[in-house]
Amino acid sequence: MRKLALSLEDHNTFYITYDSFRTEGNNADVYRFENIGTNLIRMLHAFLLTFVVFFRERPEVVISTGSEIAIPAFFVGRLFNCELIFVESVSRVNSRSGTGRIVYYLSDLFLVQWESLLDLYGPKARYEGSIL
Amino acid sequence: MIFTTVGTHNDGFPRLIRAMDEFASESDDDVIIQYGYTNIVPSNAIAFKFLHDEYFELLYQTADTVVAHGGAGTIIDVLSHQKPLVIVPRLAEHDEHIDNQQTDLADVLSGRSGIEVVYDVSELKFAIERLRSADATTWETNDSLSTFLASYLQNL
Repeated sequence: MRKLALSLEDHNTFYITYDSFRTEGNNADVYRFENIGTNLIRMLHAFLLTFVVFFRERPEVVISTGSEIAIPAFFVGRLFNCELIFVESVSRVNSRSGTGRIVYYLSDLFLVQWESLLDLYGPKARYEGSIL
Repeated sequence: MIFTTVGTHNDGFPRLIRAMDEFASESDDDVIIQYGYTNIVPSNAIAFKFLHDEYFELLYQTADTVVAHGGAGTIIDVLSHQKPLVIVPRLAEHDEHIDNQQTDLADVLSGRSGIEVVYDVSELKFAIERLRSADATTWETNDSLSTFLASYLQNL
């Protein structure tokens, strides 16, 4: 995400993330969630927290590089009529990520960083360069 | 200085650590090894388990060559510093990772100048030597994706 932060410089940005996050954005607020993993209760909790955050922040665009924290953001983002942008990890070369497979259907813009993934995901997937 | 890192992945990587420890004992180079969750502490090199980002930053800046596991975050960091990189993918058969996912990224990067991929750690010293004699990397920072995103966001 940090490598893509250049593209966010001119925009008001807030983050939902797990780790402590260093950002250079001048309007960056960071909301920190507990690691979800595959825990259903934490996922449901994350849905609730995401809803509260989105209700307060009213984002217009959601951008995520995953992983599972993107799922509540995309579902709630769809509720709030946000533009949903997913960027698949550069480490995904020949196989799709679990998160990618789920959010593919919700995304307005779905980006992969290797062309080998285009056929695996489907027509919505686009390759527009990578960070490596 | 040759800097070795195995990242923060929760499996050890003794195969690489042992090999670099041996390399350190035979080489004139300064060798620094970050051994993470590996249960071996190198005895022939300066070694540590983990280090804060700011200090890692200094090590990447000072290194002449980096030898690393195949973690995406590590690879991105090293290539941002434009240092020659030897990638040693963690392999499931040695319990270094849950699967062989690291081989995907390593294999697709292996053709690039400034990058060597090593599966057999006995090849490490040859890979390091090849990078040294190839001189500077020609790898340029790739901002194709951020550039695309920036203009996509402008046009929304």
